[in-house]
Amino acid sequence: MIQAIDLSKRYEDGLLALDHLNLRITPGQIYCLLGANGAGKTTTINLFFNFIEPTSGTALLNGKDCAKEPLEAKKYAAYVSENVMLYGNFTARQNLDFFTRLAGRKNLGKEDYYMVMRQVGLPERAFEQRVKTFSKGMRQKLGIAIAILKQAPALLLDEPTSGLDPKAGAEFVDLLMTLRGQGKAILMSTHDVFRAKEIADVVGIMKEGVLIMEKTKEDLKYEDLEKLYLKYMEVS
Amino acid sequence: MIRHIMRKELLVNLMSMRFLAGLVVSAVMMGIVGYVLIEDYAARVQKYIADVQEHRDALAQTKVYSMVAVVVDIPPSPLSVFSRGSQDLPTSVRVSPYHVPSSADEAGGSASISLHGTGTRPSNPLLRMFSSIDLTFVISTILSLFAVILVFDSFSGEREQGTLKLLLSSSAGRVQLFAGKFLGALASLAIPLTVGFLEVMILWMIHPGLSLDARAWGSAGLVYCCSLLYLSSFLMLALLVALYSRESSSCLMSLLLAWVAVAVVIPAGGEYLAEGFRPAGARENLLAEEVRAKAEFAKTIGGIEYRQIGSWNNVSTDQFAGESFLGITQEEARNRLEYNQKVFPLKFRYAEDHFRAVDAYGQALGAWREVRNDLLRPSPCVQFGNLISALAGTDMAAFEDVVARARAYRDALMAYLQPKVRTPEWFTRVFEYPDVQPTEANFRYWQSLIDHQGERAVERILSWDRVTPLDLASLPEPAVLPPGAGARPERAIPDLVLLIGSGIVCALLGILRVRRYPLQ
Repeated sequence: MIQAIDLSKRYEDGLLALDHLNLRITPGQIYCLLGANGAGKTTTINLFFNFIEPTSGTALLNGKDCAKEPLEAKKYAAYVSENVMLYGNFTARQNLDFFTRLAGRKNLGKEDYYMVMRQVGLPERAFEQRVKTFSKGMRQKLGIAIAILKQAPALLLDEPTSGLDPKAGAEFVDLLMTLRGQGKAILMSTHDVFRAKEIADVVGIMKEGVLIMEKTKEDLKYEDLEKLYLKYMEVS
Repeated sequence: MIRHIMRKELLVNLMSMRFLAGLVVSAVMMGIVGYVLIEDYAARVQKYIADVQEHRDALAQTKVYSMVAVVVDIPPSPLSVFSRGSQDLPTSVRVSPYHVPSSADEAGGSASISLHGTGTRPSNPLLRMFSSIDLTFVISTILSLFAVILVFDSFSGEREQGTLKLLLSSSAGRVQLFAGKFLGALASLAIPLTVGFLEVMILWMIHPGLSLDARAWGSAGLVYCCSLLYLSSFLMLALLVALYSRESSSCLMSLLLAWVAVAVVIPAGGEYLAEGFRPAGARENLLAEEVRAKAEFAKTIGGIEYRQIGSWNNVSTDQFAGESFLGITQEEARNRLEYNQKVFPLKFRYAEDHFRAVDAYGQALGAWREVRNDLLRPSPCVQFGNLISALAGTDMAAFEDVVARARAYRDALMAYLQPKVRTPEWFTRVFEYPDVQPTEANFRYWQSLIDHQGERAVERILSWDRVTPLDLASLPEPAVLPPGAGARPERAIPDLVLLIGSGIVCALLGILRVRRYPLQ
């Protein structure tokens, strides 16, 4: 479970990037955070992985405080960034092997890696290819493969579909649906309103560090999310 | 966790062009320098063997006790292949009744070491640095530069390329990441270091004039471990600088500046500054005092009444050293024996007084060298150089050890020689060879020889060459060998402690910094 309780972050230059954020994502739920650039989406995800320290409030992963017990908390979550970057001179399998070992999983063989790479839709020829030759879509898929192999119950994705072509984006969404079906709690920040409406169980809209709207799939059944988003963005 | 990060760092480095370039450069440098120094060491070993034989032969040919002088040759240290140390140090120490060994009074050193130094030590500190290229220099400069190039983008590079967040999103902690990166870089640096050492050891093994025994292997192993320690310390410093840089380019600049500071500016600047602390005028004053004391001593000797009752010829006298008389009458020799009882104790005392004056100057030079060392010591390169030269026995302290032992040996030599002052063999052998006496009877005999056989026949009679050498079997043996590697570990302790200490301080600061290293 992913939970934020009154989570705030003020940067050293005085900018309040996140203001008393409260959210809760249960297993098997996809939560999409919408918002313009600088709304605080990435800051939120950064706080869960203790990339930055909160000014106040608590970020919890499976009940573990991400600031106080970061190593324990991080065991329960996997991260996929907007632009998954890996070690270019390593092959896809070598990258998987390294990050899987870092996640504490041992005794995985070549076939285990190949199976996950097939699962995320990487072509066979890419398995032993150096990652520096990969397209962005292939790298994103490999990022998801790393997240899958970590076997963490929570997934935090920072604009993972930005810059992907429609086919790659659709494949990525299919993967997320599968992971939700496996009971993962997924927090995804995105600009893509249509995709959010398509997959999210809960949608939150952030503006200037504040979660200004939160609606469930049922709430949004009869509402136009795009109009709603634009309306909230216009309100000063 | 640390093991996985270390392995990844090692693999990333091994696959990089900079590693390959660094490996080639260091292997070539260490190979060339190793070859040159092994050849140089072999040549010095040969010269040492020849010098020992020459000095032994010269001693064995001594005809009177007053001329006994022992030259203690200092064997070259096998580890001088790694560290040439103070290369302008003398290679031998003189011991005689008229010379008390002092580190500041041995021939062959530079003016920085010796009162009468003749060494050609460059006055430019930069030239002084680069004129002593040895394996220590290659490791402390080339491999430290390699370390800089390996780790300058350890953190900023990962942040810029976006892998740092993914790394830290795993179960790896920041301190583990720091430790893993350090160990990975160290393992990477250990490869060119090991290759270089193997090159040197192979060149050593296949050299026809040298042998490589277990002790040499052990000593080389000790130098290897110290090199790893130095590289660890330097890597910690480089990683600390890397942690304070947000961008790889600025980090590279900062690290190159730091490298120039520790490899060039501090050693060369320290040398420049040290010149200001040199005991001003002390050398000139002592040289002037030496001339004055000599003149006064000559006056004192001249004041001792000597009534010649016989005659002599074929005389070798030296006012300040021993003397030998062959063509002297036995009557005059007995007369001279009495005179010697008054003169030679004064000569011995003069040598001791001279030693005290020179030693005081030597201590002033020693204090200056300490100041110089302290000025240079902030540089890890200097700490490493000091450490290896202390282990190799090529530093000034090792030479001072030899001189101190030679001084102790002189005491034994004097205990042996002083009773001989009361014997004719102290200065003549006329009692064993009475035909050399300039007496009327002998003059007539010599004239007849000249008439029949020519002047050479008389020259042969009056020559020291026909005199059998003294039996010096009971002369004390000079057991004056320089300390081997690890024989005087306390000399290496200050630099070892500084090297380890600076590494630990950098590690602690790095751990503090990595906890707050910005990922944005």
